[in-house]
Amino acid sequence: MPDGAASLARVPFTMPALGADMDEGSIVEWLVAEGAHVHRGDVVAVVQTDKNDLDVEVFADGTVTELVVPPGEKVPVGTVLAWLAPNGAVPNTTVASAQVPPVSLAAPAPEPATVYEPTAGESHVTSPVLRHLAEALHVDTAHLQGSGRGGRITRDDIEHAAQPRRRISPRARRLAREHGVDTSTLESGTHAVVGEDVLRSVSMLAATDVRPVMSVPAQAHVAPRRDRQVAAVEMRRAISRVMTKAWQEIPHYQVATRIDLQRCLESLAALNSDRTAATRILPAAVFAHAAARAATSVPEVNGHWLDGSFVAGSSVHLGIVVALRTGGLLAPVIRHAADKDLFTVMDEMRDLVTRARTGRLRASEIGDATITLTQLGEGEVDAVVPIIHPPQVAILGLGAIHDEPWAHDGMLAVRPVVHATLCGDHRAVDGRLGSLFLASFTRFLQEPTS
Amino acid sequence: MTTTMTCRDAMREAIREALLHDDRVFVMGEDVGAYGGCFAVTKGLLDEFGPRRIRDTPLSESAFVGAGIGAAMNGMRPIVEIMTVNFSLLALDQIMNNAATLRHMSGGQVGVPLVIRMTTGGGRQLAAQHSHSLEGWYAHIPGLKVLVPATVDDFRHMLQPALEDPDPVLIFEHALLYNAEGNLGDDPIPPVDRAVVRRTGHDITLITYGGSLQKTLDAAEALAGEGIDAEVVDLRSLRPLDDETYIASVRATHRALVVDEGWRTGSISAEISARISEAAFFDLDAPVGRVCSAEVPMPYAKQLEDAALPSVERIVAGVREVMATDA
Repeated sequence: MPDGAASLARVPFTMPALGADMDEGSIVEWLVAEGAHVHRGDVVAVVQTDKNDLDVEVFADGTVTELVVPPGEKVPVGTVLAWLAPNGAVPNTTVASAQVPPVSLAAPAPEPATVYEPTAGESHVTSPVLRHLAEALHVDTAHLQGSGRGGRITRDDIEHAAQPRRRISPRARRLAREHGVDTSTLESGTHAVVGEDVLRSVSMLAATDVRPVMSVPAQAHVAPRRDRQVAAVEMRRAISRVMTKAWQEIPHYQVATRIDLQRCLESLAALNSDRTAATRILPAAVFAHAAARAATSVPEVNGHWLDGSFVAGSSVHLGIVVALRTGGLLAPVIRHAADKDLFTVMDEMRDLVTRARTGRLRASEIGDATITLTQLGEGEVDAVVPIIHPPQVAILGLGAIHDEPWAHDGMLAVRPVVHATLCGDHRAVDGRLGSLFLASFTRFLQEPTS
Repeated sequence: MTTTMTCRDAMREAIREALLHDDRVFVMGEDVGAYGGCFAVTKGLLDEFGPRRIRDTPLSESAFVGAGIGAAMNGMRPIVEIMTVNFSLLALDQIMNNAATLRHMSGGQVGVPLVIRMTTGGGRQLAAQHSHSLEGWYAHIPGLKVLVPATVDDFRHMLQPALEDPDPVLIFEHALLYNAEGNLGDDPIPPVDRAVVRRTGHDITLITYGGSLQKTLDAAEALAGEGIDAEVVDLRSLRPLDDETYIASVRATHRALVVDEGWRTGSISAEISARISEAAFFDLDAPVGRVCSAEVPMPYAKQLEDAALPSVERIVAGVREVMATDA
């Protein structure tokens, strides 16, 4: 028997695509050794992708004849990682390549008879019945990995490949494209994926199911709410995805200024003098209100960068970054923030932050922000240089309010000061407009109740 | 100050006003004079304006619509009343082959500034020859304008702009609205070819007109109790359709349901659904839903007629279906 015949009967085990955006990966660990017998569905290796480590199964029964790629080496998707000898074929290639004459085998060798290996480009489907089935189910067999003998495509393979396409609404597909979201990672329960699912993922909101309109009876038999740990992992993943995209794609610039808050805080104190603790206006709301109004005076920072051009926001929808005590972030939105007065902004902010922390936001309250504000006012941080949340083009970062030396009228004074940093997407907006925004923000802070 | 009145009184006031202010205006149709109109819209006008301006005609829709066209071509501003839309089919040749085409066929030399009013719709146990909603058919015809008032304000104020139009305008009055009361506002109405958002909401856009508006608003209220916040768009004009308004609404809510008393197949609801697909496909989170009349000649029996027509319950169910697009 010629040397090649046995090797023809082997089945490749290749680097799988574990997600639509995966181009390459590496083996973290082989969980089988050469010579091991494996069954379809066995986990044989741990593969590292850009996102995480995943267990990888084998799709054929057989014996591992060769581990080709050692752990640690990064290889493109589709690279042969190992070779298997299918059950019933020659046990391993070493036997064949040793050129032992078959006649000299003491025991009858396993039947190598039907050795068939299609050449490249040839369909692996041998049976007309299966070819018809593939045609009827619109399965392209050229790209199918056969699990049958000699890599042949089986009825199971075809039926598996013909699984109905996941139902994703046209709007969800568009939003996923615009935000760079891999739709295969989206959760939607038993429903089709809709726009809110994408926005939720983009808004880093993974912790809770916030689909209010879906809470009609059908919800009762939906899978149980994912446990907290899984939700936290998902939120981390969403944050990772959005921030990585932002950091890789957006040419950020930063402009920063220090702002004297003495007048602002005095006005606020006067305003709060007859208010109870529950109705007091907090500096955070003053900042939000001023940021929203500044965004109307410099509309170039308020909007989205979509398909290579800037689309101005029709109104200011201000995203407010809320750090969750359990870890992770949410960015609920104060809609039409610039059209509301300070008191309304305060009320909405109080409500949104409370509900963000208790996981009770509505889907419509997240996503589609036109500009975002992040404040690290509770800590000791002087300044924050945040990362833009795509497709927005600007984010304002504020540190904590500290007393600082301040030159005033040629004298040194001590004033309450906040450091404001505007990060802009340089594709959409230039630094000059960023500095105009900060100037406008500073001006609005001087007259918080105007 | 607001006045409460019925849609019937509002339309009568509009006709009176037109007769008072423009000598070229006259009313013509079956039983519009001595009998006061089959639906009493023209009641009292014969006494006030006399038989030259309130003209009873023989029972021949083709003849009196044709006469109206001739009068309009010669400088008059006729208001022709046809008893129901079903009978307008007898005049369809005049409406389509003459009224709608003459401006085009004469190279712009001759216009037909005619207003035709007719009742439409079911719900009164008048069975299969008096109860259909065929306004969608007329909306198919270039050269016509098709208005579908649904509120007291629109009944009161749509006639005048229709009379001012240099081309034929058809006004479809849903018979169940004649007794409906409402407040007459002081403000001028929006242009007649603009749709109006009658109720704002975030979750779904309900697009409707005429006799289905109130049912749709009631359904929206019922849905509010389930946490579904529906926006309701009143089309007001079926030709031209104000795409801008309802498309903008669908773009904001990402879901749409069309409520139309016409039959579903080949209907104005089909046209609207198609336009939404053309203009807002990538803003949709669910297929466009429709609530239309059952595809049967309108039954006489009360319970069968009720079952055939769009109802609050059917609209609510239709919305639930669009909201819960199970995978």
